[in-house]
Amino acid sequence: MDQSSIPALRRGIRRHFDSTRGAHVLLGPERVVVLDEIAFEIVALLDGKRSITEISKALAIKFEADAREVESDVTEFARELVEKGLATE
Amino acid sequence: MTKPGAPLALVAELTHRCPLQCPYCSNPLELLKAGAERDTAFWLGIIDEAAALGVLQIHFSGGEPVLRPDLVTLVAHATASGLYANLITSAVTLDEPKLRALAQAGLAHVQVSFQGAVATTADRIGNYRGGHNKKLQAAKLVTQAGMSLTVNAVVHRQNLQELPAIIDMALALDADRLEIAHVQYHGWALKNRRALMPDRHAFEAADKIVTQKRQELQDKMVIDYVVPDYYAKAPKTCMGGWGQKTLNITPDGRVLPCHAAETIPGLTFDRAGETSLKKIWFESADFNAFRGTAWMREPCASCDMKTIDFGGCRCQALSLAGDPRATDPVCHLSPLHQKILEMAESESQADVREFVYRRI
Repeated sequence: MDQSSIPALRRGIRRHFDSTRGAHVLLGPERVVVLDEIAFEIVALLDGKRSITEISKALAIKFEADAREVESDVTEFARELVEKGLATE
Repeated sequence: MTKPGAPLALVAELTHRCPLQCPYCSNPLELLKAGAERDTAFWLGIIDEAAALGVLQIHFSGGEPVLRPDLVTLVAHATASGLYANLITSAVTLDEPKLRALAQAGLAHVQVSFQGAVATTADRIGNYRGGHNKKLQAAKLVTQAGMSLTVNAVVHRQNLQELPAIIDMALALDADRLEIAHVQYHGWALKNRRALMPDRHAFEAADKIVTQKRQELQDKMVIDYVVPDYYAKAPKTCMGGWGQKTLNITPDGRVLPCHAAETIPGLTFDRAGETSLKKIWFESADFNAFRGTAWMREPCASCDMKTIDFGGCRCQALSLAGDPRATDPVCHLSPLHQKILEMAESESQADVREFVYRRI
């Protein structure tokens, strides 16, 4: 996983709002990942077309945040999704 | 004890009927006949209750859930209720029209069981001629219909040599996930243990293959691995902890913390429909019997791992130690650990090839 990686959700992975726990979640076979606000925004941009750099830029602009900091968050989260089997890079 | 969270998953065992007769079937020895099964309205009500309670995933299981004519209706209702619907199937009765209808109903994921990589091996284990080839056909149709596919392979002494071929088969089927599970010795599997137990050398070789392939294939396919209990050092976190994550409902509507829990004496198991799922989950004596850590004895009670593995499997503690409150004997801290290991090694050498097939 690096800046040029293009992460995408795997087939059959779905986003869902869990009203019992008041959180967005990502659901896959035998997998549940709770998404915080930032993770939710990242997942929305995992379209299999945008690179880590492009996703980070878009989020940095949207949240008026430091692009380098955002990029490290995005990279770390995308890596976690790959490790959990919810995304490919 | 702190109040438990809401359950994440519900296993709906729609039926015990199955075309296959696998000798390690996780269903109980006393199988329920079709007449004991609950109707569509019952399961629709369960889905409503589960969604309201906070369940996120529903696993339609059995037996063979595809034998139920109302499966599509149930999948559609689960999906409309926001549940992630998963079908756990032998796939020998799945054809293209059925799969298309299930995909349209919103089914997210299909888990197809395989008994080996070679048809002669697999068909003998499931005792169903032609089954393996039917499964291969159905698995291809799953991904063609746009659904996520898990290949599930239960491994043991009589098919472990096919493990590399099973991994290749799952790749060739374009599976998103491969679940390799060593037999868990309850019910039918316990009856067939002498015919199923792998020797230590075979299980160590399998571990190596899985570790290497998991790394190599990380970007292509997820590999989940359930280790062979008896050779393990630490027990598995059975069901993610008793009453922590999962509800299991039997074909006749009883609610269990795990599919084997009926073997434990003294538990009564409320019927869904008569008592609410919410009440059963939070308040029933059964779900609270082994929830958390208060029920534990030594060496569990003072163990650092007690909130990680919750003392292992209660049903296994009962079947091997004769006491559901004992430390799971596969744990190296159990006084029975060495004895269990020796028994596994001795049974792995047993000259037994024939199975006692699962039958109603």
